[in-house]
Amino acid sequence: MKGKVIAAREAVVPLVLIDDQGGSWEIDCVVDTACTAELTLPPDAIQAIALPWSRSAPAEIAGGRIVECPRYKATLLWNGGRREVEVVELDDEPLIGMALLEEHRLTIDVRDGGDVEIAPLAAR
Amino acid sequence: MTERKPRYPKEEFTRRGQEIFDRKIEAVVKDEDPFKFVAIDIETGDFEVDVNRDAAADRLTEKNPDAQIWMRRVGFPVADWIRTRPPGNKPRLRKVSP
Repeated sequence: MKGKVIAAREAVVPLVLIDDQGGSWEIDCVVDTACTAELTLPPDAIQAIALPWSRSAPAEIAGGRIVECPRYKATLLWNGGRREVEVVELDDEPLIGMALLEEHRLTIDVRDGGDVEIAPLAAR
Repeated sequence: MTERKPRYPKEEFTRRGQEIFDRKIEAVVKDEDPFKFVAIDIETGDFEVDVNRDAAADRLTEKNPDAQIWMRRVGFPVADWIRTRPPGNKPRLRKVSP
């Protein structure tokens, strides 16, 4: 999984989601190591892809505020296969969180236009 | 697969879930790892605890495929921290030379 560091010094990785009609959607997501979830998406993206609702759970966000976030199921293209993930609805940039990066190495060349790579770790 | 939909506004999920946790779950789970997930069926009061959030939720939907599930952590009233960090107990500052 590859991406780029953009001018705002954010590490952005495009992810592809598959909807229930088999259509695919590409979305640029910011890697956020201060995020315990797998993936967050804003409400308009969730609605456009028509992700199925799964459950609800609160999240603490910047500033100590607690917000109740509906959760959805999504199918991602990941490392040459498909992966089902929980999407947190949050009105923010789409975020890749640490739960999605579990058992992967994240490498970021921190310069404008630098490479970002997410690669699976060898099994222990 | 049954299409699942929320039957309550999200504020009601918070209210019911927290009330069930406070009333009947907190005392039962107090010795568990505070970062474990608690999945709560807000209609039946049924709950599951697991280090893996999907495992906890899946056990609830096995019992009730139509479960309206709310989640938090054992020791925190949230499931996730986003753009912020969970409280830690390790001091981050260490003096390394005189």
